Amino acid sequence: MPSADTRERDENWIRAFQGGDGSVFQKLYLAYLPPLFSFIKRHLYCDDAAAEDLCQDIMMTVYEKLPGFLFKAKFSTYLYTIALNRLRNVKRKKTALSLDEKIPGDGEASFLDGVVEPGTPHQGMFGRQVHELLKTGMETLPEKEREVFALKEFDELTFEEISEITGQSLRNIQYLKEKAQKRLKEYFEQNGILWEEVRA
Amino acid sequence: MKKIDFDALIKEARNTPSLPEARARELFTEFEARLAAKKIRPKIAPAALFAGLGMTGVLLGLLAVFIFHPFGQAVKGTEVVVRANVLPPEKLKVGNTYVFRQTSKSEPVKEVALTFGEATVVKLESRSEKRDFWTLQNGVIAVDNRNAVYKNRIQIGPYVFDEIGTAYVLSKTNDSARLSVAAGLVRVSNVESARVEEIAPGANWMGRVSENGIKTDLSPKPDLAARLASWRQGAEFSWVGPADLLLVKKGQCLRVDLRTGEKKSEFRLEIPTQIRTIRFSDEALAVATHSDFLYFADRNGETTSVRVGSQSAENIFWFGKRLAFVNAEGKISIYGPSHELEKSFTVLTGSLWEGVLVSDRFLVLPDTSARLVVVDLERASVVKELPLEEPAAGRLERKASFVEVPLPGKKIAIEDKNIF
Repeated sequence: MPSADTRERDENWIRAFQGGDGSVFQKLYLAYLPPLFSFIKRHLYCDDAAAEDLCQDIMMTVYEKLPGFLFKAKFSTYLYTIALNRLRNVKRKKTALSLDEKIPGDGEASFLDGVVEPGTPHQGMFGRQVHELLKTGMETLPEKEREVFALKEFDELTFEEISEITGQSLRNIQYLKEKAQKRLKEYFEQNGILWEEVRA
Repeated sequence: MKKIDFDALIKEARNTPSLPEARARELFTEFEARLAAKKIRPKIAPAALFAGLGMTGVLLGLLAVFIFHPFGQAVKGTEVVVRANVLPPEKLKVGNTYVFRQTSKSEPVKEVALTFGEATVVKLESRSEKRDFWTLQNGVIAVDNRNAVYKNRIQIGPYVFDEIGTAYVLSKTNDSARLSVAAGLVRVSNVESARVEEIAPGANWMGRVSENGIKTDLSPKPDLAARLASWRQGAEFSWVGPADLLLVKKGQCLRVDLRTGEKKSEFRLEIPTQIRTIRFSDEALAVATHSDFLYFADRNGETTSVRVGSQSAENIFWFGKRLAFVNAEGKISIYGPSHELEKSFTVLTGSLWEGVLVSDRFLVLPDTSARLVVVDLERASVVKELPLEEPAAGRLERKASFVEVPLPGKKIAIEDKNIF
């Protein structure tokens, strides 16, 4: 997540933009497009082209609304809030438009597909099973829990940031995350895999 | 019960492929064009405006606008940005002079002969809500499709077919193309005469296209069209028989009869690594991957693999039932009908760009040492070497009676009579 320096840098850019220097938006765009792209890929399980399109839409909204940015939150929080709202809309539309007969594997690339680097602990046949299990396990979670878990674990946001983005209380966020983790653990156990926590 | 390390698993899952900086810059160019196309301006928040200017400033500003605004006069020299695939978005005014500027040098505008530099609009004819025809000072007609971002384009002879909105171009052969439009329009432009030749009609249209024009002979069921549309993105496709379409996406294969809308078969290609390129023949598929192996698959998904060493995923050519694979070191391997290696020989100093088959046996390949090499695949021998000024700077393209060779900053044509 952005450091204090990054926050100051972003705020300087935004002030310049609000002051009429439109060219400064390119700096913001280039700084935040890669993380936004990864964020979308992780949450929507879409291919690169779809993620890029969505990034452009989100950046378009940011461009339009940035003059009203009030510096109460970090720019990254502001960006992820817009992105998350857009993702929810896209998911809602996708559900409404889904075809009766679904083609297996249709367009639903997972953020877990092809991302395991050689030498990581969960590679090989068992590794693929485990990643597939994490993917299907995530899909079994209720939407709010899945969202919070992904924001915390995959996007590495703090509880405070997730609270700002989702508009839910800090306590509720922590509860949802714990709940999601518990459900995932149970899901893995049902599938014969013991979830070992080695983190502090 | 097996155990997993949760921490490590989550770390791996975070490892989503990121967007390269070069791609981000390309996207910014596209973003600027979209902003211009949609005429998006930042919505000035009153709080920010007043904080910056104060009420006096605002009043002075308004007064200045009132005094200096040209009110209908020609806006001489206003810049109109033309992105590679999107024509000028602004509704130009007749009599006004604009400076047409292109933002991306790597993707020149091809679909119309649009003048860059200063030009005056002498005629504006609006034919529909979505299309305007402009006549510029020098008689060139420009076409504007607002909000259209062309993602697929095929050119056959002088005709260029572009996707607009949710239209889908599905397949292309050397001299004809078949295309499907799930919804929306396909724009057909005649490049030589620089005008729009025909706009194909809307939903669920399917036709074959050749240099002689468009012939509509297939009309899929609407639900099939929708499914094909959902499959189209990121899918490889090929025609099998007179009306069957085979789509391959993420290893999943779907064969459908486009006349009846029936699914004929569905199977999975068992290929363990990520697919880079698929080349279809009448009976089989050749699949280049990110590994050292090239895979052959029959129409039921049964695969065999051969080790090809270093990759050159694009240089794969079917000639009849046999296949030629050119690796990055310039070695050509020829595989027989049973996918056995028949012969391999090195004729190039290196291969960076895709070559082209000019008949059912002659292959033209660009070399890294400024020449084109014509290979007779049947005899596995070099027929001719053609020197170039500089090494080719892009993939070769087969045109009606010549091969187009991109060189740095220009393209040259090598006529067939100089190849055979």
